[in-house]
Amino acid sequence: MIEALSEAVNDIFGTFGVSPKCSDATKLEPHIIEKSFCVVIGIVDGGGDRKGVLSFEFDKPFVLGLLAAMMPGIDVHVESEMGISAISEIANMVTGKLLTKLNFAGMTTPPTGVIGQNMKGLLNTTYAYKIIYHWQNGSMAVTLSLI
Amino acid sequence: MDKQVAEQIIRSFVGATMNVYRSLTNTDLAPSGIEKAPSLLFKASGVVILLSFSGAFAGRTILATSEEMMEFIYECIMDGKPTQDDLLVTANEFGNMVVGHAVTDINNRFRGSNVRPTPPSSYIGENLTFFNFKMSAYNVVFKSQQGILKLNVALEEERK
Repeated sequence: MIEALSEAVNDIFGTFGVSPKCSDATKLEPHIIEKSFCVVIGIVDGGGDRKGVLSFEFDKPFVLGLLAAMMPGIDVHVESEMGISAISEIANMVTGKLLTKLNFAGMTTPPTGVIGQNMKGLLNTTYAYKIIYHWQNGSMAVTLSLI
Repeated sequence: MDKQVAEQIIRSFVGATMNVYRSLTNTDLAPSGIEKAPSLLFKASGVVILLSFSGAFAGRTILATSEEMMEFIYECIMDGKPTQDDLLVTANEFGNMVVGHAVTDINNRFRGSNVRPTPPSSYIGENLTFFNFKMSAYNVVFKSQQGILKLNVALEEERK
């Protein structure tokens, strides 16, 4: 599952010429988020037996670099609707790719972008695997909890 | 999405929220009417619960309230003063019950729609802003003796 997640991130980000360096996956319980900018996507199979959450947490330098790679020449504000829409779309693409790699016959929910101050989030009460990516002085954490 | 279908889905969430709140607190919520949200941005401070679902109809529902009101719910079911982590877990459990009731009701209203919830998530913070795209959103405000609970239901306009 971790390998599939890592491959899905690399495949999709690679299409935009973005190649972040990743750390080893860490296991955490429960699935929490700590950064103030994230995109959350739910995953569920057709029978409702397996379900989970995939979260993407970003810091500002990472998002700025990513938006510049996705929309070269266009100055997009990180917290603008266009900026969050673009980041949500890339998260959606990674999720779709992940489900294909896992051969998971399921559905995803529409991505929800979340920003806030002093924010703390509990995304799932079960365990999760988190991979941290570093790129252009910024970082992104991709966390998957799926049971 | 057909307007009448959207209204029935929203009513499922309204009914589920009222029933779960009553079963946990033994007090009632008074709902306002359903209003179309002017924007796809939803802003709140305090505690926010995000409930997502997928199937023939896909979308997400937000329940937003104050930390004080979530403390009230916690104190109805547990002893002692809650920490922030306790409030998040309480919010998650409240949300899980609401989405379970609502999705069952939706699947009963629309046979074969196979709508499934994903795990609820909950957030505490200030100026929390939730963004969704290509969706239509609706608001319902509940009033109670303990404060206000806001419900925001966003439904995907077209299922792929």
